[in-house]
Amino acid sequence: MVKDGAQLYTMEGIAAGLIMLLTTYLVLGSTSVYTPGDTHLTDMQLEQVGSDILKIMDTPANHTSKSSLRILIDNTDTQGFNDSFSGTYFNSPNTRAAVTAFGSSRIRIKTTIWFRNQTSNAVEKYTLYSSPDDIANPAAEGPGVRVTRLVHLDARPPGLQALDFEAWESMRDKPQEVLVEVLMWQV
Amino acid sequence: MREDSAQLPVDFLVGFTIFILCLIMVANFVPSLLVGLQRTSGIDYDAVAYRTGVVLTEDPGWPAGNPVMGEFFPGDARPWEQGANESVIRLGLTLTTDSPNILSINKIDKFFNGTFYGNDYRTKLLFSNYQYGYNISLQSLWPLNPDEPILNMSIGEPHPTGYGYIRRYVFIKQNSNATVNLNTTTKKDVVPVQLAYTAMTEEEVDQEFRIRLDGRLLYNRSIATPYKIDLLKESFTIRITNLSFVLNRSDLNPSPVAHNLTNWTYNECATEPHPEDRTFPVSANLTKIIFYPDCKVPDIPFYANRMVVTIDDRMDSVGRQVLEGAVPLSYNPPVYDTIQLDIDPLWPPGTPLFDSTQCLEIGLVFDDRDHCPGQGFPLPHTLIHGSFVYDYFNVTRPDLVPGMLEVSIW
Repeated sequence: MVKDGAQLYTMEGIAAGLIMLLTTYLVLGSTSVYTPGDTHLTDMQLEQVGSDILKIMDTPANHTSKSSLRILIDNTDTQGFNDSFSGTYFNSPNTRAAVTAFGSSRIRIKTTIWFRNQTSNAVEKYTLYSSPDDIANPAAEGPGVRVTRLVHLDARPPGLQALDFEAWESMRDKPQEVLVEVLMWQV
Repeated sequence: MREDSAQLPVDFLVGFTIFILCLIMVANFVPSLLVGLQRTSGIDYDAVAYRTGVVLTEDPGWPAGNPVMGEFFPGDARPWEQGANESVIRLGLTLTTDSPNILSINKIDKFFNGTFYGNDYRTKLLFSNYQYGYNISLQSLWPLNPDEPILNMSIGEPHPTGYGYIRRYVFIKQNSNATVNLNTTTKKDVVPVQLAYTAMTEEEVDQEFRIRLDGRLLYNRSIATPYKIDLLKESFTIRITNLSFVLNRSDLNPSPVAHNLTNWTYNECATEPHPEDRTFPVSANLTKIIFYPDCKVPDIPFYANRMVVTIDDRMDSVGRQVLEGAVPLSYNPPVYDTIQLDIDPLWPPGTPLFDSTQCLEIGLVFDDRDHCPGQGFPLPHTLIHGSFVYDYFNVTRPDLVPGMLEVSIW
């Protein structure tokens, strides 16, 4: 039964009040314009650099030799990959120090090789190189960037057996394409 | 009957809700109007630097010649690095469109050492008349050649505190070169040809050393673009050394002069005996340079593009001659040991047509005969004859060298 007392809490009043509060919140919140792209320019630069380094590593120096990336994977040279990617290219001692958004010595990488299982055809992976500083380290700045490149192998890398026996068993010993994925982050 | 129970009617609520929703939409729209279309203090310099880096490292520039390496059609404009600065539409450093991150040393030289002005870089690379500040530098990660410092080139001013930046990694491709060492070669076609003693006394000997450029070998499709010898767009150097070894090979040259036979009578020029008639030859005069289109009949007696001829590493005007625009040799210097030809790209129309279907020979004609004016027969002191094929087996092609390109914009 409807009464005519001080009806401060009628359903309609509550609804009206909520609408007004919501309106006020939305109006005040609309004054901020978010551009998510502005916060990732440094990541784009890092991604471009990583992509370039992978491309350079995968290009032979002359038309009779193999690329250094191919040799590193064939030899399962874990430290050699980091020495080449980070040491030779990123931190080249012959280039002058550049004032950049990312200091060359603050970069860490983790390299994963993706391949297909010879039996199930499922995509599997093994870690070629992992930095001692994990990306989950609180000192890491930002989520990191990922660069990839498809590389042709003539056969299963023989050194993989010592590094990751399960991956070596799963990988077919035939010509194949593998995906080299390098995760890069700053500390 | 209107009641006074302080309840909002439903239709009022509906109208109020519609009004509030419209107010929310307008309020959300207003800030985007305030962003502004011209943000003179907010240019994204990182984006400009990135775009500039892409143009330099992934584009060959314009004009770039024919997009297919080794092909030439009459309408193809001369590549920008070979033409005048005014002909440049866009500056790019790669070999071709399908070889990103592989830079041409010739384009690098022209870009960093050419006589471009600041506004040239702004209009042909930054594509804007806005007075951007810029600094573009290229360094090789290790020396291009042994015993040389690393390549380090830059243009522009030092950057201020705030600036846009991009770094790109590239490969630098250098030009090819060939060294013909007459002292070590064992190929028959590069050592002097023996001639019979009797024939030599009566016939004129053609003393010509040829360098064969076969486009069908050089532009072989089995060679990938970054490793091809592209003589249409690249300079090349040919160095012939140890000519003295040839000049003094008595086992190869049966002439009495080469053997310094003292009992042989040379009746000619008896009144003006020449010392070299009786001694081993020590030099040969380079008389002319001939081009053979299609490796056949000689056509052009001299080079029509630009070629530098250096004799015995001499830097004087006789030893070092710059041939440009159909000019013959100014001097016929004696060659004691070395000839070096530094030849500009064979882009038409300066030279006989040379492309992936053509063959071209360069003939170096020597004359070391002792000519007694108006008297007798010329007798060569030695025989310089043979040919050298400029192909992937005989030529030195330096490895690709990695480098780092940095672009700063403010």
